[in-house]
Amino acid sequence: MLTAVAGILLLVAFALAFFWVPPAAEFQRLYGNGHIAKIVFVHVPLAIVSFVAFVVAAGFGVAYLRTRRLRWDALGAATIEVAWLYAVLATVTGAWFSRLAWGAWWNWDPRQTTMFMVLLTYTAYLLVRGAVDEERRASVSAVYAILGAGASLMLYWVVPYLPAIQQISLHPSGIIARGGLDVSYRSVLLLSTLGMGLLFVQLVRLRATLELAERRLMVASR
Amino acid sequence: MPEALPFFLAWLITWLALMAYLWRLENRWRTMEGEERPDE
Repeated sequence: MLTAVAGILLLVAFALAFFWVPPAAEFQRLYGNGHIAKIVFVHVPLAIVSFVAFVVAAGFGVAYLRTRRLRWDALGAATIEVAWLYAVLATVTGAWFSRLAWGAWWNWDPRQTTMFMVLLTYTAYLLVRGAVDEERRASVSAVYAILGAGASLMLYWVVPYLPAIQQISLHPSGIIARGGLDVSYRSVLLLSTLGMGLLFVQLVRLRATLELAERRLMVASR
Repeated sequence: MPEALPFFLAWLITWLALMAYLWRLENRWRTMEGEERPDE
């Protein structure tokens, strides 16, 4: 049911973006194609949902450390795995925008660099979780998730907004922040973010249920 | 509408990746169900 609602929201957002939203005048002036602004309908929701999820995963980490219930560990691990996928897709769509707007897939813009660091942080989480022995896996993952959320907060919201960084960044978030995109962009962005968020919740539920079931099966087979 | 193609491709790549992940999870779920009921 949740998957269907998310799918419908995303399809409606796509249809509106494709057929209703006009090309952005400022992007047309700066980059020669106003339609590339519509990549925000994919890129921005992926980035926002991934950031919120990394913070929520830290909450699951705290809940696990307090209660030692494996359900919180499974939810935390599932949240980070799906958020990692969202962050990868945000990076890929960002690189696609970079190629179209600035002529290079990757140019170490501060935003690209901080996102790359987020990806490294959580790729390491996935590797560490897979490498640690089973008795310590949940505790180590929980502590890592809490520390990771602190790093995410810095990398998503603090470093990119430092005045010195903003001066050298080409990232068009400034255009969006000063209202350079009209109401149609804001409406479709909201719809798309809701759809991506609901799909995220459904993917995490499925992944966490799978994690718990696999663990039960492993215990039963010993 | 070739000018809108970049947006379409960004959407398509994202959609395909998310659906592939969902498909992989469902596949693992089905495999696990098969392991739980080996006699059926």
